[in-house]
Amino acid sequence: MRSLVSQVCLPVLALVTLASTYPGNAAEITLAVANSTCGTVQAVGARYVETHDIKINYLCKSSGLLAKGIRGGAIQADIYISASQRWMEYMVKGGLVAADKVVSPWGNRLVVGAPAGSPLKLEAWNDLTTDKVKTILIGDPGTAPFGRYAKQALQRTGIWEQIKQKITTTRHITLLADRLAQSDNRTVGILFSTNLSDRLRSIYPVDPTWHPEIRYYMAPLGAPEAGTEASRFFEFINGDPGREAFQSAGFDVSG
Amino acid sequence: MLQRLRNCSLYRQLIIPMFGIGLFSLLGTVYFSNILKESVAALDTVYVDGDIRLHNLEQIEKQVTFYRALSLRHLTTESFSSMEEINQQLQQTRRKILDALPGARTAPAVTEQPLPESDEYTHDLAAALRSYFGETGVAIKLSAEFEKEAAFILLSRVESKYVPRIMEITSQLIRHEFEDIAVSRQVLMSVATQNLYITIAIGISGGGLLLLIAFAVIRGVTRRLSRLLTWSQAISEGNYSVPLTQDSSDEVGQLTQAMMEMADSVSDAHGKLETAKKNAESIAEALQIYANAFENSGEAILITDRNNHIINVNTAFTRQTGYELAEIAGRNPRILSGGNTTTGTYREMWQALEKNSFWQGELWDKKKSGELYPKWAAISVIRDPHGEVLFHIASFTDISDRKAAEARIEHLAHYDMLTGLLNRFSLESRMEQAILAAKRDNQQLAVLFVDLDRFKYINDSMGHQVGDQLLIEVASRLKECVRESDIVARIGGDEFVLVLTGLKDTNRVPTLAGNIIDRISQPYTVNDNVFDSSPSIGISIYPDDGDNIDELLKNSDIAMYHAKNQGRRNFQFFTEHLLVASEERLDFEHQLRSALELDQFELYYQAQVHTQGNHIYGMEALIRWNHPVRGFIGPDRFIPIAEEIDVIQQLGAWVIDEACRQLAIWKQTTTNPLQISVNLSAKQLHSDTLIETVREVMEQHRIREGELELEITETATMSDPELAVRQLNRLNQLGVSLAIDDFGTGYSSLAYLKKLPINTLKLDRAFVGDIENDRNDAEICMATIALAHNLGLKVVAEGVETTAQRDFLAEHRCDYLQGYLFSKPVPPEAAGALLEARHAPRETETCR
Repeated sequence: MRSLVSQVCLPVLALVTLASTYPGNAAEITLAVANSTCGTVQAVGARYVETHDIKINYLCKSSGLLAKGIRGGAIQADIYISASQRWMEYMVKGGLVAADKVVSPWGNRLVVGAPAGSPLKLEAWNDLTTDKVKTILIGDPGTAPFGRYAKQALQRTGIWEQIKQKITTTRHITLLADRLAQSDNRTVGILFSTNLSDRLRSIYPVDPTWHPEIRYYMAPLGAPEAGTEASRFFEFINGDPGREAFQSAGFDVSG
Repeated sequence: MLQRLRNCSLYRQLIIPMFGIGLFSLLGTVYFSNILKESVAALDTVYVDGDIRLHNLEQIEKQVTFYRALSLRHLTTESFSSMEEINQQLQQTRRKILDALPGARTAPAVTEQPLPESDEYTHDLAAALRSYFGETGVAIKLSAEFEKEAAFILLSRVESKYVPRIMEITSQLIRHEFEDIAVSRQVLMSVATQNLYITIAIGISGGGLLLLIAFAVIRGVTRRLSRLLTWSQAISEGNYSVPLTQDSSDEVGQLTQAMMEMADSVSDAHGKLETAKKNAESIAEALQIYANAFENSGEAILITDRNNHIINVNTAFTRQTGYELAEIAGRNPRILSGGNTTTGTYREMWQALEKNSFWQGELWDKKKSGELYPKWAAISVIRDPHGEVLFHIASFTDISDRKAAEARIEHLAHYDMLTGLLNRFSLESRMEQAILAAKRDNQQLAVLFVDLDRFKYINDSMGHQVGDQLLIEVASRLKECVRESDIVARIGGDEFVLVLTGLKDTNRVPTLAGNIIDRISQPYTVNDNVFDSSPSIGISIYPDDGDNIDELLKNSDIAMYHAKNQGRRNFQFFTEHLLVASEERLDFEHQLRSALELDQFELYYQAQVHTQGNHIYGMEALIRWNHPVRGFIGPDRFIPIAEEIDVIQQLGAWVIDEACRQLAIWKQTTTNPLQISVNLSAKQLHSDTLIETVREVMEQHRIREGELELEITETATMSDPELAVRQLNRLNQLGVSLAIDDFGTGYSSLAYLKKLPINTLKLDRAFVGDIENDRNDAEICMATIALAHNLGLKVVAEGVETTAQRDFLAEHRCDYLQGYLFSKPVPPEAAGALLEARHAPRETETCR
């Protein structure tokens, strides 16, 4: 019942409310975006707004929190972008997303990162178990996919039990990137290569065969009619303009 | 058998039964006194054991709450090493709880039924705790693997499965413990009393039997001896034809036989004088045996001559009284008298001796040492055939022990065990006498009902041992305040009653009551704790306020409640209009019924703001009753009464309608989205007209989905969960947003709430208020926020009053805030002004 209500009534209501709040604008759409793609999606959005009379709102959180918020009714959005297949399946099961509308245009890679000024060097993956590394930051495996991938890689290579006591989790990737940038020389973090800012550098690439393939999944929420603002933007970001932006941000767009 | 005994020697006739019975009673008495002693010791053990077990149960309750807080902290911790530390604390706490578990109970030997129900509870508690720890352990392990999500879900399931059960069993156990102590005490008391009675019965019957046997034997011997004497006098007068039959073969029988032969000889010739002389010697021998029996008897025996001068006493007498024969020979037994025996008793005694030659009864005598003691006396008068008194024989038993036991029972029945004051029972009998006396002498009585203020608080916070010490001290201070002749009683918990007797007028009563208040309000020192307490006193006067005990006590009680209402630490006299006060409640109900028609209710609105940005997103509507005489009355006062007298449906419908009407007005002037919250009482939630009312109101005022929020308490959904879920689902279909009010005060868990179609949790002000003081509360607060988000719910914190609380809640990502820090509840116009400004004013530290 609740899903029906949000499918039909919420967009209508949102439009009515927005129309009265921002009388000058014709339309407004809201994107629920996995944290790791937040910057790139905003860049694509900015290009889109140049040519369209529309306002775009961005909700950047971990994929799991977004999924639960949308399903619980606390978050209302038009398009959902997840950093893992698991949370998109959760949405499909919840009836919030039509399975045939889900696309997966981009992929990503995990790296071991350190503060830009850190002299730390990893000769091999197993160096994580040595005294050189005191703290390893990863995402919360429960809600942040990049944390789940990191845990899977550590388990797959058999060092999870040895390094467990060095682990500290963070809720989402921007938080991890910030914290890592302010850390000491014995701290490393496992994160998407696209989230390395100029305050961080990669010290070891994670072998992609150690974890399931990292793909992003995107779908419109509910069943928007073709020709609405949301579906027009969906096509834009799924098409060439989106591909170019993601490629230049370092994402894998070959899939 | 009896005949065979009579044929034995006198010595055996006396000693065999006496020794047998004496030994039997002695053993019986020793045996039962020993049991009595054990019962008293067992009674002591019951109290001590009970205390320890109660303390342990309270400890378990506290530690389980701590354990819950710790496990939630573990789940919200992100670093492994911090989790390790918390895990160690968890294990310590778990050990503490398991150590404090009540073990197998060692029921006192005399309690035959060891309350198997309670053991079952103990067993259940241990099982529930072990399963709770076991399953929580699994959640903790998941958490340590950084699988927080799965751990959250498991933990909330485990909590809802076990915690309410554990808390329920613990409180059941505490209740049982209290019952146990009471039951064991009763059983032990009745066993002790029974033993006491048996001991006394054996003592008395043993002593009585001894006396009876001694009496029978002595009586038999003296009767036969005096018959023999009469006969021998006849013989000596030369009358040999007098017949004599003696049917026993004991010494007296032999004597008779010899005398008969002597008589034969005398009748034949004086020449047989030698034979007669021999026979006389055997008489002396018999008397010697008799004297031995007398001397060696366990009973104290005293013999006086016909003029009541002491002629002999035995060793047992010397042992009992301390007097040697030489000291008192020739004196009157009066010198033994202690002065505590009434002259009536003596008069009765002499009358009985005169009439029946026998008397027995209780006398208070004095020992040589001067010590007074009670004794049981049996006195026989020995007379010659003409009825002339020959001598008196008296035997005594010391009954001090029996007396002391009787006095103890008497005390227990009439006095309060803790304070030694009169108990309720004897208060009533003493009051009855006092009323009779006052009626006869045309005097007055004052009944003071004294109740300690805050006693329950002291008892709860400092422990009941301190509470008991306080009561003892209060009792002694009360006694110091009144005369010896006045009555002071404790009739329950912290309730004392004083009765001032024989008053000519009541002028001095207020002064005395004032003194009592001053005296009781002096600080108390118990176990190095210094604290204050004060009394509230209600006073009723005989005969003005009642002429019987019940009425006087009831009216002084009413006056005492009045004193409490007047702000405690004062005294109040009973007046007729206090009786009227209870009728006022009826009046209140009547006014409440008509208040709606008279338009006396008003809604106030309190702003709810976004944690980030501080702008208003909603208003909570709060009802007030603008009473024409009493001024503003808050909902706490009248909503419970409205629920009782069934006007809550109309009142509730009015509130929903009024709040929505106001919302419709605001929507015309403001462009910002706004939500209005209305509280729903439990009765309203269960009403079958609720859905229709809400639907109509929403249509009439064009309220859209999400604009109306109804708040219900956790407990309202719990009385009939199925009906609650049905009603809430229907409200949800109408587009009403639903919130759980006062979350955290009940036992419900998030897992249970998951079944309800709710959107919002309102964190109770009690938790928010303690954020700065109580680490556990702060942690429960922040874990609740995290768990609620996990279920996709919004969280509103109520009662936010300081910036520290706001910062804490913002840091832990609470969605919305409400409280005096932003705005107090204000009338609609002021609320409208706030909305126009969009931001709630920051009434920060200045408003506190």
